[in-house]
Amino acid sequence: MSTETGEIVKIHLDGDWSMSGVAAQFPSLAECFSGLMNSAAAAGQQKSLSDAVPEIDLAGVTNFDACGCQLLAFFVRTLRQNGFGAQVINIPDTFRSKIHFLGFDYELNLTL
Amino acid sequence: MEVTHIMQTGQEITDRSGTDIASEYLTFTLGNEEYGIDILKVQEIRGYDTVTHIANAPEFIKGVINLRGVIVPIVDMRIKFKVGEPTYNEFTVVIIMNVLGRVIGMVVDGVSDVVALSPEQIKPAPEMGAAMDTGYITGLGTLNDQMLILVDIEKLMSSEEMQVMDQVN
Amino acid sequence: MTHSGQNNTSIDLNQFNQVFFEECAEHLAEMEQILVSLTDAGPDEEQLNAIFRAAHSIKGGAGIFGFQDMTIVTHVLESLLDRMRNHEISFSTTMVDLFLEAGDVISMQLAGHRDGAEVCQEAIDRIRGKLQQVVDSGAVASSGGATVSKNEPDTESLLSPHSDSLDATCHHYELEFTPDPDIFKRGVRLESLFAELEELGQLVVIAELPASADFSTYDPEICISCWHLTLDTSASEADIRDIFEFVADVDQLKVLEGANHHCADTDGVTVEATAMVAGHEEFCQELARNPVEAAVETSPGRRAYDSNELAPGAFGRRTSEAESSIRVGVTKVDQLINQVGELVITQLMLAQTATSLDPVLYESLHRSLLQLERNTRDLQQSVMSIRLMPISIVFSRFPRMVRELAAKLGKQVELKTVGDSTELDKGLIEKITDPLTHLVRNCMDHALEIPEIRSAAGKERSGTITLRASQIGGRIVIDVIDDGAGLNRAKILAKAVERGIPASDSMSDEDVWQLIFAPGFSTADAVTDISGRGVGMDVVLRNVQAMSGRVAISSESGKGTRVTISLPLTLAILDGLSVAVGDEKFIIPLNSIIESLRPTAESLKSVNGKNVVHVRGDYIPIVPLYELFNMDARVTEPEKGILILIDVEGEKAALLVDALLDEHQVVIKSIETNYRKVDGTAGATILGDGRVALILDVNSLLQMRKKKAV
Repeated sequence: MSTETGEIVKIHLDGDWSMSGVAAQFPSLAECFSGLMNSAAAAGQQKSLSDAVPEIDLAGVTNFDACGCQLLAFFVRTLRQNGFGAQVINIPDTFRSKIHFLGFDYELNLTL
Repeated sequence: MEVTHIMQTGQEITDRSGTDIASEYLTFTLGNEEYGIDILKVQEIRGYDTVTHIANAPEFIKGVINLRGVIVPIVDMRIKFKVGEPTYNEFTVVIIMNVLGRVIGMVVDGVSDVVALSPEQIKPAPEMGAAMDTGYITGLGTLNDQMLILVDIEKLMSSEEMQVMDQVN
Repeated sequence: MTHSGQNNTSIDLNQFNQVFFEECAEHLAEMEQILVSLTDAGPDEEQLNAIFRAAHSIKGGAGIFGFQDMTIVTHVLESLLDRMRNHEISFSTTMVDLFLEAGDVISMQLAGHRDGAEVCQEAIDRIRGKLQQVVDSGAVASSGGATVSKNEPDTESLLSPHSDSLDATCHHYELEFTPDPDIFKRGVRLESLFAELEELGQLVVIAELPASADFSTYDPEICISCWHLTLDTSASEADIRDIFEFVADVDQLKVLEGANHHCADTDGVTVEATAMVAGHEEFCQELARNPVEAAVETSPGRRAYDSNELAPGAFGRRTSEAESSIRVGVTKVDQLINQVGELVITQLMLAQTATSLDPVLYESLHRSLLQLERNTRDLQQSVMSIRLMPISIVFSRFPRMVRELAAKLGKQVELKTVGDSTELDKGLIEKITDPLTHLVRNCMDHALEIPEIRSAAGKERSGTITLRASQIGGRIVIDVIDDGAGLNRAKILAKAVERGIPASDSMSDEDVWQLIFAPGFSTADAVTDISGRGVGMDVVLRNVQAMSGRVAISSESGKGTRVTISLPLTLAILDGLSVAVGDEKFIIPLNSIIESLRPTAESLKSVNGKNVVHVRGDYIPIVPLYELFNMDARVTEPEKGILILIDVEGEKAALLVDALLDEHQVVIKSIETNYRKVDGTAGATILGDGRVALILDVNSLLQMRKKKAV
């Protein structure tokens, strides 16, 4: 799911991000997170953490609802709390309005 | 008036071999014979107390009683099957049963033990003349040289001849 | 045929869904009721609004639960209704059938979600198409020639922007919504919820995650977010809470009203979110710092009603009743009634025991017991009234049935109902529905003539069926009256003879009408699929008698027929007179008793070999109870006992008993639960001494007597 190209870590999310699919999505997210933490720890003092800015790409997401929104927000927040300035990109339009409607755009720091 | 409640174990008992299962029966006497009914159908055992007579009911339906706020009919099996002497004193026993969702009491001569019978101990009922129609008899049990006539009490109580339940058309 | 449904099999449908299903059903019933009552003139404004609100409400709720199939149909229906409200489309009588069909389809969809029932997709597509057709053709034909393209709300997305119209008092609300953790699992669609809020006014939604969440504890299916919302609207707090009705408990939604200010007519709030929101306070400060730009924009097609209807019934919500109500399960009510019944018996026992105590010595005890008796009686009345419901519940199903049957039979029929508010016990309501349905069907099929025959007979072409309910003398009386052809005496007699039922020409009219209650009796020439299979009237009689009720018929050839059903007021308590016969005690219902007397020797006569008593000019036959019940009695001679005069639908009799005992209220206990119905009685009761006493049914007693005499 994540590919490291230099300092930009691309995280591609895809598939079902609604209530029916979140349970399946969660383990890989957790894995991705610990992967990031590990590599950051490995990099140690050589790199400053804020250099790694994960880009979370939503282009491949097929299904999205409040539950998925919460998961995404949680993921983004956890990344940020641990010093990774996460960005969410390539949000499909319908999901964009959903995120806005559910009020998660503030959590996700999306520009309106 | 004494009220004895039966502990419903409702469990099937395994015998020593561990593979066979037994069922429990409450045994009672009617005339000269011993009968057994499924213990699970028995709610409690009481003495015979004031019974309100029901007009125009057959003689063996003694009437109804108040069982903790519920009206329960009492049937005297001794009269119905013309066995024994129908007396009513402090030793008279009424078995309160729960049959097809109804509570019904029946007067018998006496109540004995609860026994467990394994399938080997039960033989099919022959076409003999018993006090009651063999259609209601599920089998004959033997226990310590005693013959136990096992009765399908549900079938009996719901039958037309008992006149205790409205017959479904 | 497709199975409608979400993947809900694994998600427990809980109490909120249940409330939605019930309310949805109520809205559908309301819609149907109004539709069926419409005349050719069509609905008035209030009726149209009511139908619209019902549809809107269903749509809203269905949206929240993600019942997309229902939202699609209700949305088209709603559009059409909205157009009609705005006088863009005019009413036509064919629309009534169309709307009824729509209601049926939505009912079917509802059943699909609620019970997992099969759903017919063709029917859904068909009604959707038909409704859409009317909407489209109406748009073309709309008067005024204005070609402003109306912005049809997108059926796919519920997030269409809108604007409020001005000049209503605007409230500023701050809402804090902390939903149930398993709200995701329940299949609730929050987007729809917020969309509904947005329809009320301007909405800003901010979701907040707790700071403490981490990967080790996070469960993706559990909702840990809470929402801060601001809403500027002219709606009331109650309206807001209504939207959350199916979704949140009262304490999961906090509503704070801020300072009123003028609602700007904008298409949305633009606020710069400069930083992640740490808390609600901060956000509000943000808002205050960046005032909303007022941009006047008239979004076409917006429903103007939203701000105008400030009445409690606005926005599709149920009109709040004069008094609030709660739903209680029937089993709870029955348990309560049982327990109160037990309390009454216990109180009776106390009273009984107290009679042996010296009244002077125990004066305060007696006084208290008297007080207890009053309290208990009041309690019982109150509890019994919980189960009372208006008979309109039963009557309401008939308008539609009559309408459809009339169309099918080619007859014109008007249905009138009188005494809709007459109350009776819920149990009776359930049991009376089938017999009444059969009587009405019978009426339509056999009694009422086709218009040609009616006008030839000098009658109005349209026949009338009247359902009348009233309370008379402690009983509920229901009449089914028609102005049809009346019963045909000759035909009935002939049929009876043919069936081998004893009948003769010398029988009175009343007795001839009673013949139709015989099993298998039917004078219908052809068995129609409506009635006439001969299973009808005897089943009606049996059902009514099972309720301790009676049926009487009167008819006049050419004029009409009246079938009267009389039922006891309630199945549970009774004011009775206890009497002694031999060793037993019986209870006679007070409302059956005219009077009781000890006859003088002079008043006792013999007429046709039967003993009668002379009372105020009437010779009333004496019915010794001990004879009827084959018992030993202490008293066999009337002048030594007590005569209880009873009246059964005009027929009088004098019951002979040994003695009068007491007058009191008794709790009716069922004897049929464990035994069977006993002739001459209607239930039993438990007396103060713990003994059982049978409650006599005077009607049945007289029947017994007649049978014995034969």
